[in-house]
Amino acid sequence: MKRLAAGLDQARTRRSRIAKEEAIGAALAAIAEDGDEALAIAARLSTGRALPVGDGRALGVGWSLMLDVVRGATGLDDVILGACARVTGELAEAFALLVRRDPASESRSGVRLGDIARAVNALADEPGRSSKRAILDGLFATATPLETKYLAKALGGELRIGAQQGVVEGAIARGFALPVDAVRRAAALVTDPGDLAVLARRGGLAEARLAVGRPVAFMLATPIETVATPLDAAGLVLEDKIDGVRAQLHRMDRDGGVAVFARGLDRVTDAFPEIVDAAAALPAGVVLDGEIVAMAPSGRPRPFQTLQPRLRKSRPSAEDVAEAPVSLVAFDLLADASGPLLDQPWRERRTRLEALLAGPPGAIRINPVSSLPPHEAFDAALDAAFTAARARGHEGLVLKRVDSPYDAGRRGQAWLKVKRAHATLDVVVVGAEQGHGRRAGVLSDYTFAVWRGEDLVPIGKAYSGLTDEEIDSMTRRLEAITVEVRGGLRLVRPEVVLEVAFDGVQRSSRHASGFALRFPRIVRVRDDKGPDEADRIEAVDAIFEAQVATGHREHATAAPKRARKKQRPTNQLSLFGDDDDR
Amino acid sequence: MLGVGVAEGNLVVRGLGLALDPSRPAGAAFVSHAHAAGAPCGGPVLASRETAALARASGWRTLEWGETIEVPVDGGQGGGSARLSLAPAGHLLGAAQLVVDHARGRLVYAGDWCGHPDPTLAAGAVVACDELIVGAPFGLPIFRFDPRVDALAAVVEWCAGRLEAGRAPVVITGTPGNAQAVVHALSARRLSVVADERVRADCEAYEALGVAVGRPGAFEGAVQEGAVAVVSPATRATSVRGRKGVDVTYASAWALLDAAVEQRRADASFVLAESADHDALVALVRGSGARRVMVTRGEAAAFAHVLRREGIDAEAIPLPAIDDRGAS
Repeated sequence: MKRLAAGLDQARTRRSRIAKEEAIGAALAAIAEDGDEALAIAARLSTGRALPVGDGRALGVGWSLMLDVVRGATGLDDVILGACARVTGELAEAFALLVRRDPASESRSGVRLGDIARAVNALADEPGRSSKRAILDGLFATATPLETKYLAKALGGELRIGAQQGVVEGAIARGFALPVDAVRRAAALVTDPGDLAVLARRGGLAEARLAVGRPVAFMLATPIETVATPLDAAGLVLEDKIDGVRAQLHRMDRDGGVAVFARGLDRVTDAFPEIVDAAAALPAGVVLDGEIVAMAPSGRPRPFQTLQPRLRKSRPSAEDVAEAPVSLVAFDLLADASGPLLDQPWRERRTRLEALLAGPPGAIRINPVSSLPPHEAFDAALDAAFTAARARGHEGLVLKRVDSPYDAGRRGQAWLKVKRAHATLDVVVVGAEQGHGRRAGVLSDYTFAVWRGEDLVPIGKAYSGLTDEEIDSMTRRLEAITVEVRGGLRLVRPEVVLEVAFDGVQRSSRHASGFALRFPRIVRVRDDKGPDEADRIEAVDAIFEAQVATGHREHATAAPKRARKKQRPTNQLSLFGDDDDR
Repeated sequence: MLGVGVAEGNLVVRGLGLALDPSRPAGAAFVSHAHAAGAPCGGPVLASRETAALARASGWRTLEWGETIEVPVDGGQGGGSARLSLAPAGHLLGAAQLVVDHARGRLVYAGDWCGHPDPTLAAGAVVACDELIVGAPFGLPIFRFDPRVDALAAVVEWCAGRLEAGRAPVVITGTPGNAQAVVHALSARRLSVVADERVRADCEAYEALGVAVGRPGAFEGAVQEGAVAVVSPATRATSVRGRKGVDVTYASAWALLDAAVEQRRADASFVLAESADHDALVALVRGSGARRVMVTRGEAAAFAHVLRREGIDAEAIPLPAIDDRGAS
């Protein structure tokens, strides 16, 4: 682990992507001499994960358990450890700095990668907290400070070194002197970085195949609001863009089982028993790509907010299922009994998909397709189709080229998603918090509000949309107008106006306004506007009512009862990633 | 009667009507070091001669080392008087502790104390007292600093290595204080040094105060071949970072934290501390023999908790949040 920790630390301090890839690649190449087990776990840890991609088990190492471990290792209490984690921005770094206090810690023997691999397996198999704690205590007892830092980060699921999956793929290419394109192509099919690294070391990238039971990277659509360049309508089909969560269903051929994988490639099979039951009727070897959506008895998809309670349950009760039954709306077929179909044109895959799902719609159903009228002006026809899709309760449209293969892991021009943001809102910043990782030292998370009468009522938080320079500037500005500090939250004088875009409005008990914006992002800082000119709650209400009228929201659905404290440790929403992932 | 509290967002010695390193408008004030100057003060301002010079302040009541002044308590309405004097606080040239001797004992405000000397400044003194007010920006046990001279040597080695490799090294570090120590160390190694306006002005001030640190050439925003550039954190990111052939390092106590280094977008970092770390602060408190300790700045509540775990009567004095990271 020493070589890996040093490589990851070097990658953290390097600014360029190439330098990061070189640092991690050199570490992986050196580790490869110790065998495939060490290489596989090293590659996984480099992406901030411990278990293989697609492994159905959970590690069960959350903040609370890690805090127990740090408390035991340092003898410090929660007041001090909490403050340390606040200052560093994360517990793993604080843990390493505390370990470093012992001058002998640098000369510790270190942890062997093989031991980490075995400990990871044991952690996933052990249900008991005390057993997990004992495994972790043993693991960290001999770790150097640097090993402590990166091991704790990886077990926590996030490295925060600016090295995402793509960087690790680049590192594998550099480490084993292979063309990066070949690694990326293989990575779309061999999605576990451990398996990928081992395949690369053996020179076997060309052998990478879709394997039923192991998720492949999802093909992604490029978002557009309008079509900038003329497209050939005859070569395109239209699909409704469904407001659900992307999923891949595998009907295994060996044991007859079914696996469902979410956008982040995590196995979420147990969360959707009605889909699993329906999949039993599919032939072995089938792999479907689609969107899971809550379904009304009429067969019309229900708004995303009705799906949310299901996403928080990894094993829903019969009552949960009855309350919000879901369906997989399939729109692609990646494999069938004849084998992988990724290289087949969409047209061929679609023909087979329609044959496969020809029966009456159930918990697995097919997403209809249509074509644009050939003689109409493209833009006008697209507008009409978009409006019709919205009227059917969908988010928008996806345009697909009929001759396109399934380009796993790529976001290209073969699929285009047409989605239009609602009109933006001008909101007033009323609070700010420091971000995490690279943004730990700056105020990058903003709570914003709209006017209700004479009061400002919060309606959401935004984290994205500003450049680093703008965030630096906002930090200074918000520090200067801070009126109160409550823990990590600074309440600020309502002076700064932001223009935020969003994908919808939903009822929420989280904010005093009673509403929340979906996917809010900052369009710009409205220095030209004073706080009095910000939008009022009536404007938000009007947007919500318009959504209700088109079926995008429901009045009757209770606001999700989700106490933040309860939601965080389970971290289940993140399993599904951004639901807008097609 | 003398007491310590918070008024108008400032830490104050009640009875003397004296704000300590005020961050908000105040009346009379004591400014312990040049970084702490800035808030407008309507009354007399006490400081060391060096601090007043580095703060470019005029009209301050400067105290010499060893000088004592007597001031009335409670405006002389039966409160008697107190004697005020200074003791070295380390940290940077002129940084001082305020020692208040009065009828019930001795109160010391240690300010931002540092026990590590370097060629440009002496170490802070440990002053025996009854009550101690200590700033603890680095009071948590995660903070453990190597001696300043070792960190300075490492910065110089890095710069020399970069120059030898044909690169243009840039050191981002706080001024006054760290920047002058770095300029001094680079000059002692006979490396060519340029610096931004703020660093140069503070070097001039050091020289005028009799501390020879060297007079770097002007850094005009363009990297100069064969020279090390020393710039303050206020220098715009775009003027140094990401330039071809330039390697940037960040030298500060905050460089211990990954996020602080990433925020500076530095290629390398050195923990060059001009404040006391956890162990040094605990040693200062113990060495002072104070019966009661008041903690300000940083995670004050957590450090007071640490002291209480050690059996010391300590409390945090909540002040409006000050982001210390911007200064250095």
